[in-house]
Amino acid sequence: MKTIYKLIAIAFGALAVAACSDDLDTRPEGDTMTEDQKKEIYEQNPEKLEADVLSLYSSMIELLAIEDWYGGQLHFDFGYAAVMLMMDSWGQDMPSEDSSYNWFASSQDMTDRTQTSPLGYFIWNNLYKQLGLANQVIATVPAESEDAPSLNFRGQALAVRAFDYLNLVQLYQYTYVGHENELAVPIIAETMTNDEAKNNPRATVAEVYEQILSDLKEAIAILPETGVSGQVNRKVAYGLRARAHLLMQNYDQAYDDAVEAAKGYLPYSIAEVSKPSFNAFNHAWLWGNVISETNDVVLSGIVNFPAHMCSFTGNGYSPGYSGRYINSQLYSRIPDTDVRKGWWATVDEDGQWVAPNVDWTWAITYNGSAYNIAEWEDWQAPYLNVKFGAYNDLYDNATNACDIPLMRVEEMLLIQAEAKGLSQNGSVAEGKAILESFVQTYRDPSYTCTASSKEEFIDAVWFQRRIELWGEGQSWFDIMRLKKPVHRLGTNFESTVAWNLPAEASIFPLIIPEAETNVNPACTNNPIAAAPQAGQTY
Amino acid sequence: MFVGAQNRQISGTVANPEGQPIVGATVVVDGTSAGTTTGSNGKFTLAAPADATLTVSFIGYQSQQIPVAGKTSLDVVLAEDTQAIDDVIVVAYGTTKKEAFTGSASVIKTDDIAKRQVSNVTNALSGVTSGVQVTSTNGQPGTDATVRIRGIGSFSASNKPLYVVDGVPYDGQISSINTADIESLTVLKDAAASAIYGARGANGVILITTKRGKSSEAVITVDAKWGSNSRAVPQYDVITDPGQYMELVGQSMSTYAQLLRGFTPEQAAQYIEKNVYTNSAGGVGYRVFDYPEGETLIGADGKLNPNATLGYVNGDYLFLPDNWYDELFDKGNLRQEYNVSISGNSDKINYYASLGYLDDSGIMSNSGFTRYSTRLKADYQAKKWLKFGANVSYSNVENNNPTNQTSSGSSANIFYLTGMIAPIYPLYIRNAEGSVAKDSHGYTMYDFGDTSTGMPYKRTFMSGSNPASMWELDKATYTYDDFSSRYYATVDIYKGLKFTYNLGVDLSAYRYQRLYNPYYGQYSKVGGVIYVANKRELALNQQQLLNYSGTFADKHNIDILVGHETYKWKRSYLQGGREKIFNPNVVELNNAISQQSNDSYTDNYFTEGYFAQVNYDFDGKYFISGSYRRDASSRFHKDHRWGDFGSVGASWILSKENFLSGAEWLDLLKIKASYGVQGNDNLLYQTGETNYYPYADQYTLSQLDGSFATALSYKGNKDITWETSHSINAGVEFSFWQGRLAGNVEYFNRRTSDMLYYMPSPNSIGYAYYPTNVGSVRNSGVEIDLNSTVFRTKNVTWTLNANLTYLKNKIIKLDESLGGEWIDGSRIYREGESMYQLYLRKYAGVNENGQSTWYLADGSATTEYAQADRFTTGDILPKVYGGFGTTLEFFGIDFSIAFAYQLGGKVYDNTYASLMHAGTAQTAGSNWHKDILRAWKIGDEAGSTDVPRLYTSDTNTNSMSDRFLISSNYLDITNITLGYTLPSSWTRKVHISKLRLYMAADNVALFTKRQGLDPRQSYTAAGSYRYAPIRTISGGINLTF
Repeated sequence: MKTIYKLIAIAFGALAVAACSDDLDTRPEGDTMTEDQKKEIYEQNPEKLEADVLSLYSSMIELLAIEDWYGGQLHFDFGYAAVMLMMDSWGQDMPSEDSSYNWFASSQDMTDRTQTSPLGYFIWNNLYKQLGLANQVIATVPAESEDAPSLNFRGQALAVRAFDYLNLVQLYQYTYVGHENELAVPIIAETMTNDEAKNNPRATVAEVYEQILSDLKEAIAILPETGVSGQVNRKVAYGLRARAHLLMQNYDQAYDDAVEAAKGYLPYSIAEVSKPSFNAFNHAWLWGNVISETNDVVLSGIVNFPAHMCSFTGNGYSPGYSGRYINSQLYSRIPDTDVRKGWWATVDEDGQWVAPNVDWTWAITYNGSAYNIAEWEDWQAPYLNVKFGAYNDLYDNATNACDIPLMRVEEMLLIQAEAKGLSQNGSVAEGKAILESFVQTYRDPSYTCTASSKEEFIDAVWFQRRIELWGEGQSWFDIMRLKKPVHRLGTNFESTVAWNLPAEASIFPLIIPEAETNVNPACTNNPIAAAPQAGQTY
Repeated sequence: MFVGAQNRQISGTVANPEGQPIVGATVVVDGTSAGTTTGSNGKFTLAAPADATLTVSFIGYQSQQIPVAGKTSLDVVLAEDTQAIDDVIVVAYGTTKKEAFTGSASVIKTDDIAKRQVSNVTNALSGVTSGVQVTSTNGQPGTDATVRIRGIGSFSASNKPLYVVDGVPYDGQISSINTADIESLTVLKDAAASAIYGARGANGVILITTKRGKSSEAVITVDAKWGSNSRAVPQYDVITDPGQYMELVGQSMSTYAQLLRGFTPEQAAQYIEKNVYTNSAGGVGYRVFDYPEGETLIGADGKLNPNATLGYVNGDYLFLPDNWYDELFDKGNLRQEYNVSISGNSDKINYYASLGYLDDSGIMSNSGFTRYSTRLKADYQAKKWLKFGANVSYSNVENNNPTNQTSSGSSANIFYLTGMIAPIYPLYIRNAEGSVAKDSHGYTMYDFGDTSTGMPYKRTFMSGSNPASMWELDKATYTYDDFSSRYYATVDIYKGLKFTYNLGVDLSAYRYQRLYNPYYGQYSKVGGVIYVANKRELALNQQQLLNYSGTFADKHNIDILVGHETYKWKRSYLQGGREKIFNPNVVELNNAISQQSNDSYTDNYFTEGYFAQVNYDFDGKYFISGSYRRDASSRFHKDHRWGDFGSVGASWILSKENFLSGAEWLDLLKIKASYGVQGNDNLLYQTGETNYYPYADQYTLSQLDGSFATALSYKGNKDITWETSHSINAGVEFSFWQGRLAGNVEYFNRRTSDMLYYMPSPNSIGYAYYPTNVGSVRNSGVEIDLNSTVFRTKNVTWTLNANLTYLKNKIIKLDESLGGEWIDGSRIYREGESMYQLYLRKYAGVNENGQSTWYLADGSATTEYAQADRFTTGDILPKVYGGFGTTLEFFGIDFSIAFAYQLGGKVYDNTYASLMHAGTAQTAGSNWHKDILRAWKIGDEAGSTDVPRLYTSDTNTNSMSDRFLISSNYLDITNITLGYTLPSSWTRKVHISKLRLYMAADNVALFTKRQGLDPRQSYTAAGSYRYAPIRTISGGINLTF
């Protein structure tokens, strides 16, 4: 009898031994999905393949994208808009508090130009990560494909790749003209393996532009005319190529492309910009990040663009901790007749706020008390931006789900003006006409352009770009492109970060992170320059 | 019985000194495997030759060797022995006699654990045995300490040891185990000891054995202690005088104004006056001194205005600095613990049951740890051939765990804030007449350092925050349910052949509830935030073991184990959040209405292994053991899933040899050596989280304007497989003069190869790392454990113990493509050198202008931080660490003291660096270390000081450099215990067999190179921005019925 029990026990044990080997094939459920899991779904639902393409755009608004690589959370890690904030902080148009609350303080004081800077690491990875996603799509859809949706995907990826290279080439080397043969950044072919990338020297500036133009040429040929808001279409590709040609001083092509890009789009009207705006995709936007309330960057609360840039948010660094202001000297040059004078708030002699675009009757209830906007918290410093509206134009909205502009038709009109004015086939007068037409119609009815030379005309357009595109990540590119100095002394920059730097100063180009150069020794670096000192001038 | 002398039946009893029978004591005929255990009433019978010697042993008692000498009846009394568990030690898949063990294991006795007042047993391991290093980054009660056995062997994979409770790997919270339930803790250090755990044993194994019944009469113990917690590591030596602080602020602004702007001292005084109450140019934002209008706070001489008085009324408010630390810490902080257990055994059943309650309020309110723990353990001899048992425990833990108490720079971190805030800022809002204001809800009004509460000032340091208010109104609670159970059945099949089935079920679940209040602070703007998360982890461990032991020809003893084990683990997580709270006291989602978010996911993990182990000894003198395990892990791709591990070991007890048998002074002399191979599959993400599918490319799904978007979030590598460690261990165990000097000396050499490693990838390819098996690292060293019973009489016992570990870490090989060197931020990894080496700029002192300078590669110095070259610091890992202690028992009084130490290493002192800032706009309002008083001043000679100038735009003055590396040597008094056991002749009259009163102090004192520095946090960096370690001083009573 007992032998039977023993045998039962042993049999039970043996059964348990045999039963479980399939369990070794474990899979994640929900948090991530493996390549295999994804493929299975695509086989069942081929239409979901588009999800891979949309990663091109979701990566631009990804929260904490480099957390795992960096080994920690950085609260400026909220997508391309953070790169825009960094770039605008380097120059002279967007002072902010020099305080430990300012996540972009080391952009403002330019101490981010080291091989170990977390900001430098972020920028490099933000752009190259998106470029890698674009390469995946390009590698998947061959140029010879005849499937229209697939070609659309390929076109979007090509244009996005060009966008990344165009940013990179302007950040890691001086501008095209005069520096064509200097080293820019490595070019990553869509077929490149990891081993090849380990021995991938920086291409020259000219080579990178060649790549940009070739990508955009193909993209323009295969992209549809229109598409979903926030995704790249043929117009956006034209707009990107207009930027590239302007940089290369190919003025005729720049003009033509900007004309093509602008077709069908309408600038913001004076009425539309007579209140805080630029927070939702509209008729003026060719491209932008379209944000939903449930995106991680929004749910994070304050790790997003509006938390820094929108002074009306109910939840953010601005105002009070690190508001974004306009350079006081630049502001003083804006005529009172220009609607954009109201994009920044100032105070009069009695300490009252002057901000014609702001509805001062807005009141909010906070902690049981009613506060008028003018009394709101730390709205202390003048020149605070009121350009960017709160989400849904709702003052004190704690939901930071504003869309983020990446390319507006106004920029295309300004490119048309500049290109026409400087082209051999055009003239300053023709350029002035375009410029005056735009400004008079949409911003300042009494505007006249008084420029009498090419140089003055360049500055006139540049001035319009500085105020029109303020805070949209363009100001640094203009300083580099136009070889302008950076003047902060005598302005509202805090004295600890006030200095004057000459054009093409040695501190201007970014330093490639050592995470790249250590592994890819063929990639040489820019020389590390001394950080600017308070009060420094040249 | 095999061939041998004529056997005869011998019977007897085994009892303890009190005369109570010991049930389950082992009686073995020496030199054979023949033996038995005592049954109820402590009786045994067995057959043995008339000239045999019997060894009688039982856990907790000294073994005795009794010559049969022709007798047929033997009554044995075993003396209790604190060293007794040295005889039989718990090892992988069973127990063994210590002398027969060829591997390396340290046993930590129940006494050493019970003495410590820790809410998590890992915190009791510091200094108690060689080879074990303990670091702790968070003093929050209940938090796991980091335990490392014989160094760090992995780059990117986990270095955490495996915890095994009563034979089955344990997955619950370590803090859920009541330390009072622990009988012993065995640390398996080498491969011979732990290779049989295969995949999971590479970083050592900690075997926790819970208590069991020892005597046939039920024993009831009651232990109660009450005590108080305080902060064990003091604050850094910072400026505490508001006037002195303001003078330093003035010095920074004045130096800048005079040197850069060319101001005279008088102009500089005006410049300070103009800016000091702003938030720019180094100003602090607050005015807390009153002085006549028209005068300046700081004079042209740099001194505080002699007319200045502390306290300034501005409008409706009085501004008066508070000592934030004194206001917030060291109030109450009760710790109380109660444990009751009942245990006993008979010939068929052995049982242990316990109830425990622990309430540890930490050192800040709202950070308490409350645990209810229960355990029932029972073994039952159901049939002659069948024994089964279960060990079931359930713990309920409520852990109030304020967020961010370990993050540097977080305004919610009370430790960071109180350690860094300048001594000029008010904690409270005070009405003009001086009383602390209350708001309309009746809450104390705290100064948030901004205008949100109607104040006219903005604090330059951590504006918009006040942790005291957060503390009062925010909530963060984990409620854990840890159910841990072990079941087994053993069948005696035939003559020493046994089959055992083990099942372990661990269910660990928590509910996390967090509330940010709607009234004050950052989240008041959104009406408060509620966040609720649930996690459920289920681990199912099954073992099928076939065991044979037998003796051949009297002298050949063999023990064979064959087994199979599976481990299935599942974790499910669900969380949700909402904003805009209705009721500030209800931490549930339905109590809030906007910004709803939620997510959930599940992870799965599975391992399976087949294994075998053979132990053989000849005549109790020569021992050989071998083990083999074939293991598979779901973390690897199908094709690379299985790995082979194993070990061989041998030992020789010289003291049993004839040529030493005459040496009276020699109790034991044993030499041993082993070699083994183990695996590690536990690759972590760079953030330290476990990665369950590291071989696979992983994508995350996100939402883009209503459509799906999938993006690569993790680059996998399907070729990755086991990280393997190869360990050599050789040692000597000895005991001289009846234990006057005993111990062991061991050499170890653990080489980890095919390391699971995140290979840096050129970031330009679109990702920064991918996992691979590459390179190797060696940890080698020597361990010495010494114990001495200096003196032992009936009434007085004095013992000493000491241990020391010398550890050396060396990178043997990195990936070819790295060319022998990999720089990762401030760390550098070089072949042939320690993994623990920093790569820092080298401080070159102060130049003639008072500026910091750093070296360039050519030996010259520069003031440009970014341009300075970086240099390797050399190995910063402590060379030697360990502990020592002594116990003294005399006439019922017991006293013990234990120390832990480490020597020969360096650590980067983050807090000190922060406290040596230059007074810039980004650092103004944070405090200074008193060393700043030596800062260079205008007029100072070059070389007169090594502390650079205070200067409001010198942002890099205190940037990372070797200036802030400091010796990590420490001496730590971990525990002092003093007790008195009343004479049993008194207590027996009231039916109490033992009554002990005691006082215990834990974490008594820490001696380090700099006040405030705690080098026990990590091997590379330390900072006081973490929940500080707790000192606990308690009194208690221990009763045994």
